[in-house]
Amino acid sequence: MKPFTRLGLVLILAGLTVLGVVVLKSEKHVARATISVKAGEFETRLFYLYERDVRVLVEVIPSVAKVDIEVLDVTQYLKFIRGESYSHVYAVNGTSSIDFNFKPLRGVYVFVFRNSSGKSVLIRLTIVMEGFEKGCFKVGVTLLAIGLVLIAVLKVLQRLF
Amino acid sequence: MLVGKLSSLVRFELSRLLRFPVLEVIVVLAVFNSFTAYMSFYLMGTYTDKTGGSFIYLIVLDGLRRTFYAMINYLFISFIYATLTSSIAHAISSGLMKNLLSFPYRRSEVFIVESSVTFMVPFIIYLTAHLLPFPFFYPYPVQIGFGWLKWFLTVFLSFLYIFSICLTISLAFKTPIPSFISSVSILYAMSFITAGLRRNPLVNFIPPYCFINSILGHAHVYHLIPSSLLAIALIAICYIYFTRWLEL
Repeated sequence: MKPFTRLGLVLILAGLTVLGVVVLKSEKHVARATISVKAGEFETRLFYLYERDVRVLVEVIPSVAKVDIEVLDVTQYLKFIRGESYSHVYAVNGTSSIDFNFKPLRGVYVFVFRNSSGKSVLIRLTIVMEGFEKGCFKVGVTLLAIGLVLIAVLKVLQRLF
Repeated sequence: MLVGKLSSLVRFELSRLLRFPVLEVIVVLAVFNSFTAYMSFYLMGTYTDKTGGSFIYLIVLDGLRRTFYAMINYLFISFIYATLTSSIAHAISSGLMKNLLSFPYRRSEVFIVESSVTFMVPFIIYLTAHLLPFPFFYPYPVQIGFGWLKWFLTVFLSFLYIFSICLTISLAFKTPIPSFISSVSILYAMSFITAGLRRNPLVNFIPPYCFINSILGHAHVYHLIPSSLLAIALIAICYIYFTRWLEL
């Protein structure tokens, strides 16, 4: 087998492997956390999220208490801890339970829970991720396409010359 | 002159050892291992360090540690090295090695080239398959420094340990199928036996847990000395056997 044909084959197999892993890892993943937030303070939790469909459920205990919730990416969080002005991926003020969807880019996201009430609260956070990881899917398809194009070009060149 | 002679030997060994579909299988296993590991990180935990820049540094460093940890996959590495070293056994049993030594190559040159190629190719493919996607999964501009060198050394020594066992067995059996089966069986048996000693503090000195614990931070570099010395001793014994006593 010629070296470039072999390279094409290796790329095709690598692409198929990446796609296989994407399919394998497309099952529903549920991450749960219980966070205690003292009165007048805030708590943060970090999650590595993929380019999948993400659903977030937050439940505050006791249900009469209300918290402010913010979802920040790394750049926004760095501004937040430095005390600079920052934007956010998602934010809601004064809620006791919420259920929302968002489509993150691959990376670390920080969930900030601010308790502005006079009593400590417990927060039940559930993050549900489902669907294919779009970024890895594109990588797999790209590798597959490059491999196929390389082999096709070599075949054409072989016939021509 | 010597370099030219050895480079032709290297090319020959590369084409022989990585014949279809061996290279393809190594690439598929490495890519599968890499992406499965990368796509298994979900909860990063709580990083209480709130000092600005170092927060993201901790995340990236932790990601890199997980990447090196993923490389020590006993299942795949044992299988790959057992396959490649059994190909050396096949060269001996089929008479190919005798033909090769009829060319103007010294036995020491053949051994060094053969073992270097067999050891380095899976190591480089694994390193590439695991480190190349790292910026894709951790796209943060952070200067990591040299904190990863211990993990790199651990992965290198872990590969060397597995390679040395497989090479010794292949030269002992000199036939491919028994050497493949024995290599994989011995490495798995070692792994299972050591798993039973997991609570014993001595486990930090015994492979594969010395490598796993070194990357996880439960063991120091000096815990890797016995397994490294064993690997070097086995390769030295193989060298002496191949160059002086092996009858073809």
